[in-house]
Amino acid sequence: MDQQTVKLLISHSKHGDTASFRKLVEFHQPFAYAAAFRLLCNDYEAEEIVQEAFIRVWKHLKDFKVEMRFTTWLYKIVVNLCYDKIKANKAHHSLMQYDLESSVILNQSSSENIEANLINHDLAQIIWFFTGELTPRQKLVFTLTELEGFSAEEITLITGMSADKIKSNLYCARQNIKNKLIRIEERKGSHAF
Amino acid sequence: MHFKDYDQLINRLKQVQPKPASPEGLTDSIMNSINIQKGGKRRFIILKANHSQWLWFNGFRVITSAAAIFLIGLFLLQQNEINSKLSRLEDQVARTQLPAASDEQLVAAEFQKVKLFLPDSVVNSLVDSVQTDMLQINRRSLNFMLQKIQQLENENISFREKLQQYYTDSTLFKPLKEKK
Repeated sequence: MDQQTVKLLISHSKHGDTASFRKLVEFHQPFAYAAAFRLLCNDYEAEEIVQEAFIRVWKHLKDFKVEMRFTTWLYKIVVNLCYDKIKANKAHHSLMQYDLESSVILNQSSSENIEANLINHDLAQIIWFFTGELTPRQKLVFTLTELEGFSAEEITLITGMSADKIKSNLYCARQNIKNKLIRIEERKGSHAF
Repeated sequence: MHFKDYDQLINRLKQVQPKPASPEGLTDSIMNSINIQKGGKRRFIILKANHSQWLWFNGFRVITSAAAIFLIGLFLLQQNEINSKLSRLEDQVARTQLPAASDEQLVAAEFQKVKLFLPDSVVNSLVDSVQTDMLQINRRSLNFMLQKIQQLENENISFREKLQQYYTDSTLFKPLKEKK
């Protein structure tokens, strides 16, 4: 869907055309869901966030500026909702850490690579395993940069964070994940003995 | 080695695109929510009902808060009153609980009990009368008494023993002893 079509649909939706808005939802829903899922690692919560985000879009459609990209605006809403959710869930999710670590190590040692784990539930487990210890900001920057493929400028637009903050958070997130990979290698080695 | 593993991990995570269990179902639920939002009349009625409920709740909360504050105040007042009464009683008990209480002390204890229920002016006058330890006697009786003493002194040698039968009080006994 090109930008002109998106603008046309937005224009119709602003006048209360739900059919046009449905087309917008159908087109953008997979991206919004993917971002929410990668940030929250929970399909139920991701669906909830996507639903809430589109309701907000509908409510504030009149405030939408035409010069801004619709996807950036949508991501901004999704990411803000996810960020609040991550902060709220932080304590609860930390309890899951040990079990997930064990399961990932076992799966890796059995299949020698993580490719087989990248299906549905396992994807959430693996993302959560590697990003669970990150702070909400680090997780946000890591997911948007590494998994969603956004540039630093786009992340600034979406999150409102400065370029320096994005860099430092991304650096910390990468270091944390690399340390985890090293730890897994070490534990795999000790299991082999 | 580790850099390679990190890149491999990221590439593989990026390759897998998470999808909702039912994309159509999710779209439908979004559109249903929006249609509910769009229905202005219905929303107005719901909001109005909720608004009234919250008003009622706030009113109830104000009344219960005021009642709670009043009850707490009353309780504190009563507590203060009880404490002051208890401290007064404690003082009185400490005064009356003396070893081997004599008749005088028992009378004093009784007096303390009575004192509790009397106004301060009456209590003060009573205290004054007790502290002066005064014996009132008319002149005729005094003369009669002195006459009898003289008579006893003249007639009876063992008047002291007889006098002791009349006067058991040591304070009255002493001057006579000195006289001898």
